[in-house]
This record gives sequence, structure tokens and C-alpha cells, in this order.
Amino acid sequence: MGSALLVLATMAVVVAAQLNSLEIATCIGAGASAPDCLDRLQAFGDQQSRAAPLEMGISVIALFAGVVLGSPLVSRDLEQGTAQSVWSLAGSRRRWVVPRVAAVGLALAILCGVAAAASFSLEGAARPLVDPAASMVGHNLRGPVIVARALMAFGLAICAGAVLGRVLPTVLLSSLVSVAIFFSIGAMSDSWLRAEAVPLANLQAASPVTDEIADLVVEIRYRDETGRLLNASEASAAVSESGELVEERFELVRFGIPGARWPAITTRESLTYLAIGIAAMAAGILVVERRRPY
Amino acid sequence: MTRSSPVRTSFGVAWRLARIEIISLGVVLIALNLVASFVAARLSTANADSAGELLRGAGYLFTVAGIAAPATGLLLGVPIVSREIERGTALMSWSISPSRLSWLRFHLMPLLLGVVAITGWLALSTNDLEQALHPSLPASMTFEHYGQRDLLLLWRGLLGLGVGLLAGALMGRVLPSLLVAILLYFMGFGIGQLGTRAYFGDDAGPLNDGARGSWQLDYRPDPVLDRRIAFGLPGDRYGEVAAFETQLQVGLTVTAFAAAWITLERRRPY
Repeated sequence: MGSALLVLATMAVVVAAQLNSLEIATCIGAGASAPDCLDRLQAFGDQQSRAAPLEMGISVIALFAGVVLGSPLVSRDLEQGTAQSVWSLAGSRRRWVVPRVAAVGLALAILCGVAAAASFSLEGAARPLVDPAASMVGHNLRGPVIVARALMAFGLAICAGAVLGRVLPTVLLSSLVSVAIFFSIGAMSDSWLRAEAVPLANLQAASPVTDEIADLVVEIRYRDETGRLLNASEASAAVSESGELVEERFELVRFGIPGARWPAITTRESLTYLAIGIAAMAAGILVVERRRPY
Repeated sequence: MTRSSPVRTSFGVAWRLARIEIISLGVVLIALNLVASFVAARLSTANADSAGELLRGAGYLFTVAGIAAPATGLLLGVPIVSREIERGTALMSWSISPSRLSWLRFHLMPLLLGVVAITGWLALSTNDLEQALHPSLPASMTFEHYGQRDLLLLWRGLLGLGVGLLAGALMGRVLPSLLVAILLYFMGFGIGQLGTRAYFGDDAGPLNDGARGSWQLDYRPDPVLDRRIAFGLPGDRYGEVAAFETQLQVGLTVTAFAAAWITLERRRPY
């Protein structure tokens, strides 16, 4: 898993370097006059399309790395029948399990940290019009949230391994639970973002070749003459008799999260994952202290 | 005292060895099937507001089905040989069986039937869901959700089982086998995809804007319109493409099973 993460991180760095080497900034804006700009923009578009799968790959492999590294940590000794002797030789079970969890967890965090940094630099190169720390494009596919998600999966795998005592069922169960929590937190985060949405003004383009913007639009509303905000169905109903287009009659207002809020959003999500991971690790250690060694 | 039949014993042993995997995967796949059937039934009566939510849910279901089918095969196939070797029980169980092939058949058959039953059901219910999503277009005439529905799911489940068995026989340890099996599966899957794309690439023709259910292969320059236009296959060739990919998958699956058997016959039991 470590090799897979490092390979993906290296690929991300290579693609970022290729994107940077195109020096696309010289083709943007009023003063852009380089003769080969069309070719460079086309090459940039081709390279940019590789960024999203790489970022997604890093995110998924990091989560799976947590499961694979955490699953055998306790369960293998229980499955192979060696727990009885190693636990009695260690003095206390806590003294046996805590250093293992700490060492492997630290290695996982370092590996995922490298991959997350590569992913972050790739985002910066793929969307050069905006700072990746101030952009909501693919907001949960880069930065510290990758490390936090991996540690959550690691904690869940340790806990499942301590309860089940068998490697493969632990991999299966912790994968299922990790994915379920990932989707649940995603849904919860969506509703938080919806509740925190503000009217967006002066949308900032993120890429010179796509229509992506740095802000996250979560809802489109329409403002009428009195300043009242209508949702899409209310606006459609209001113009249904006159035959006008909604966009002609009302002012379109985009609601969403400004890109500048990315650090706060990603910190909140990371802390949520981390809290679940630490709670699961603590639960796993408690189970090790109390369960039978077979 | 009555002796139980070998078939019954075989199922009993498979259950005892893999009950947690069978229960977890069974719960996930049965829930997936039931939700797919529920969404398909609701779509026919949904109004515009609730249809949006259902369509989004259906999209997730197809994605999960596309992952769950091979995952079932992999997770059930990997431990068949590797667990025996890792626990050190292979030496005894292989020597008391008439042959290693009969040992393999005894352990494999119940899981093979389980994978066929559960992924076959998934194949049918995801096809029904596709039909409910686009009632005016037969599911056999569209490339929508290609590889995430229909019998391709069954073949991918069996490929996962074969590849898992092979990796387990080669590695002899459960967790490394699982990682190698995932890698081998993606290689097999990639061969199937690339082979199909290469075989049908020459048949690709220009697609009309908004051609429903077509398989877009690439963009090519159009000399008349002076722009790049989409090239691909129309939806009515779905059956032909799926049949070709099925042949590739079946070939790879049979190869994986044969390689696993040869490995099992020749390897040391530890």
C-alpha cells in the first residue's frame, strides 16, 4: 500500500511539473500574445484531465491503506494463535498494543502526508488561476483530510480486528464501515455547507480551459423586484403565465461557499474523521485489554 | 448413525470457514438488490421532485453494484487456499483428501454457486433498475451504466473469484493475497476493457448530438464542420459489445481457475 501511495504521489508530482512547464500564465489575460498558446492550452487541457483521477486515486488508496495496515495489527496474532504467548510476554496488553498502533499509525500518517502534499501541489498546477488553499474545487480530495480519513480507517480496522480476531473479515468489515462513514460525513458536510451558503459575487475562474470556479455553488435562487428570493420552482411558477424566461424576469443569485473558506471547511472535516479514528483506536485498545487471547 | 451427503458437508464446511464473509457480503448484496428493486418500483410512480432524488440514488446503486460484484468474488476466493496454508492446516487436509483437485472442488463449489446466485440476482435487479430509469429505451439497447448492470456483473464476480483463488494459491497468506488479487483483477478488467475498445474501435461512427444510450469512444476532427465531433457505437450494438467482453472475461476466468489448480497441484502445503 505504501508503494502504491508513493507511486501515485510521484505521478501527481510529475503531472504537476508537466502542467507547470507549459507556463500557461503567459497565455492568459490581455497581454497574452505567445504564438503557440493554442497548442499549449490544448496540451494543458489533456494534462489537466489526468489530475482528477490521480487526486481521487490518492484519496481512495489512502483510505484503503488505513484498512490494510490496521486490520492485521491485532487480528493476525489472534488468528494464528500467537496472541496468548506474546500478550503474556509483553507484561501488559496495553504495553504490547500501544507502541504497535503508534508506530504503524505514524508511518501511515507520514505516507499519506506525502501523498496529500503531492495532491495539493497537483491541484495548484491543474487550476493555476486560483490558490489551492482558497478553492472549493474537489475540496475533499486534497490536504489534511486525506491523512485524517486514512487514520479513521486505521482506527476502525484496529477496533474490528480486536473484536473479530480474524484478518479477512476485519478487512471486509472495516472497509464497509469506513466507506459508510465516508459517505455519511459527506452527506453531513453537504448539509452543513448548504446551511452556511451565502450569496456569491464575482465568481473567480479556477482553470483557463474549463468553466470550473473557485467557489462551491450549492443553490441557484432568483431575486424579484422587491428583493425577495425565490427558489427555482417558485420562479418558474411566477413566469408560467406571462411566458417570459426566468432569467429575463429575475436576477439570478448563486448561493454557495466562497473558495477562501476551504481551510476552515477542510479542518472541520479532518477533525471529524480524526475524532472517529481516535475513538475507534481507543475502543480497540480497550477490547484488547479485556478479550480472550484466542 | 446417518452419514451426511458430500454436497451437504461441502456447504457446511464452506459456511463454517467463511461465515463472516458470507454474512457480511450477503447482507450488503441482498440490501443492494432490495434497494434497487424498491427504486425501480418507485421510479414509475415518482413525481418530478422525488424523481431527482431517486435518480441520484440510482446512480450510487449502479456504482456500488459495479464494485460489489467483483469484491464478492475476490473476498470469497482469496481465503480458500491461502487460509489453509497460513494456518498450517493444508498439510493435513490435502493429504487426507483423495487428491488436491477433489479438495479444491469440495471447498470451491459452494462458494462458486453462492457467487453465481448473488451476482446473478444483482445482474437482474440492476437491469430492471436501468429499464425503470429509461422506460422508452430497452436496457439491451443502451450503453448507459455499462458494466454496472446485466450479466457482465456475474462474469466480473466469477473473474474475481478465479483471480482471488489464484492469488491465494500463489501467495499462501490471506492479506498479501487480497492485495495481489485486487491488482490481478484490475489487470484482467483492463484487458477486457482495452480488448473490447480495440476490437470495436474501427466500427466507431459519428454520433448525433444527444444520441441516447450510445458508447462514445473518442473525439475526431470533422473536415466538413471544422470541429471535433464524438465518435462511437449506437446503443443497439450493446448486446454485441457485451457478448464480446463476456467472452474475454470468461476466457480470463477459466485461465485463472486453471492456473490456480496447477499452482495448487505443484506448490508446497506450507
